[in-house]
Amino acid sequence: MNTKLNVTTRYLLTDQLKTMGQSFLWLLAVFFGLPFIYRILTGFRFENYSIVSALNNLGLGIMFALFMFVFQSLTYDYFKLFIQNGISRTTYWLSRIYAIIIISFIGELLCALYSYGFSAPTRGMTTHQMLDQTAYMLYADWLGSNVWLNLLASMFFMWIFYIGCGLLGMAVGSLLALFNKHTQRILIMVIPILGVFALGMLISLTSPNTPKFMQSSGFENFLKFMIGYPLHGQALSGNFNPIMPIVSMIVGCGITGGLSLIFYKRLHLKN
Amino acid sequence: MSIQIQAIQQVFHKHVVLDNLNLTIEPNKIYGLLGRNGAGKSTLLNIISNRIQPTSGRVEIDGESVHDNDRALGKLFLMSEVDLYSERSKVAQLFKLTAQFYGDFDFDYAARLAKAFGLDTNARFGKLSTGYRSIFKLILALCVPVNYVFLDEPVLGLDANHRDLFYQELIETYSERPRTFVISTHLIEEIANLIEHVFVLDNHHIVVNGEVSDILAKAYLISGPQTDVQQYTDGLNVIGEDHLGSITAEYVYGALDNNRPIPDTVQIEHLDLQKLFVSLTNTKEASGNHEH
Repeated sequence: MNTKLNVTTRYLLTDQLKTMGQSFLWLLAVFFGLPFIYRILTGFRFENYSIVSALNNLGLGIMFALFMFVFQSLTYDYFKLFIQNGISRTTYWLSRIYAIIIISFIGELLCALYSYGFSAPTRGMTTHQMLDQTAYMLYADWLGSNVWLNLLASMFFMWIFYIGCGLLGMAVGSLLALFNKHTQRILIMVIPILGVFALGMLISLTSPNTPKFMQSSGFENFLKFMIGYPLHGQALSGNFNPIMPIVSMIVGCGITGGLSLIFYKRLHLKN
Repeated sequence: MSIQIQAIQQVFHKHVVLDNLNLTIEPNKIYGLLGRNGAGKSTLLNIISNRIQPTSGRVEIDGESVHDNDRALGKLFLMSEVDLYSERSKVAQLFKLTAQFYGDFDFDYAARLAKAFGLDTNARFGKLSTGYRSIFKLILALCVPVNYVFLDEPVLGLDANHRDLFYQELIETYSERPRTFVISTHLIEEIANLIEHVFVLDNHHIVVNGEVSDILAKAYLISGPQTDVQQYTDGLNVIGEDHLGSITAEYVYGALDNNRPIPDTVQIEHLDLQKLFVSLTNTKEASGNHEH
């Protein structure tokens, strides 16, 4: 890694971990503070409130995935700082990729610690039972009965997933950064609406209520392939093939990363 | 060893800002980049520093394209009007950050300058006034270890004392460690004695490109009675005129006709840089071709 790439990656890592940490603390304050205030306002009923159960309901993984998307979408402010300091667009992009990989790894470690080190014991669950409650539940038994092996695979799976969230954020953020604020607002409103419509349309194509000539099993089969649906035998939760979604996510990461590189190369200082 | 600006064209929303610009910026020289508001000075500096990409053309530093090139970009620093730093960051933190990116930042000199200008290094950038933001950016520009420093409106918001201090520091640091400075400003009189070479940007083109002494040597103020002055300047490149009562002053840019006798009633003086600039950029029809 050359010096500039090293410095830029270190800066991004430090700044993003710091900002993410601060945002997380704010969320915790809101998460715990609001019910507390509500209880004070509605009659001081503290006895039903459990901090442990509130901590168990945090949804740390989803929160981290959202953080990854949102923080990696922040593009222009870093671009301004880096171009002022003689950092090229490609170095900025590459350092962002490194930062995403490292932050996702740290985030997944913390999420795993939270799930299996805190949440599972306080709920009286075994590691395997906890694994069955996570986003990896469809694949939790694929590597056999060794729970640690499956746990490791789930961590790898989630790591790739968080990287994907970050790269998607990068692509969206850098695309928006190419436009002025007015166009950005329009895009932010229009793209999700179009996305929901497109998704709805695709789902309707697989619905049995859709007229036959419009039905398509291709999309359904594609989705099944992507999530590792067993080709033969019973489709039992835990026995889906994680290779398919992992490969799908890696391909998705490649596409979003490539798109973001195209957008990063076109970044420019706005008036 | 130079910056080569080759056939740069910049078009914004079908409006041509720069048209086929060719320039060479040499090492260890102080340049003035002059132009009226909207002439495209900042656009040109932004292209040189790869902050924006030109519609066509190429910028090279020491033979390397600046486009997406860390090594080339690391040889220049642009202090611009716009603030590209985080408002939350403290001045001292930004010094350190700049040092990380550029390396060999002169912290001692920065501390000395901050003290001389009265800049609080513990203040957050967002809390600084316009003048102190300029001072902060100037300190960075003078302390980074680069060969080419571009200063876009460097004294924006600075009072007369601070402007004077900046010019002194600029001369001092230049004599101690010669490097290229390109100063873009509207305060022409203040930098006239500082710059060695001048570019005048007007109507999307460079209309003057030369050593200040050479340019001023062929910029004349010819005054006297109107008929005598007009008779003398007939056929010369008259770029402007003024009238005061019966006295007429005509501004000529270019060689005079040595064979033409100078009437006793006519006086010839050299123009200063500001008057030359105003005349050149005011009177397009009268000025003809100023390319130098």
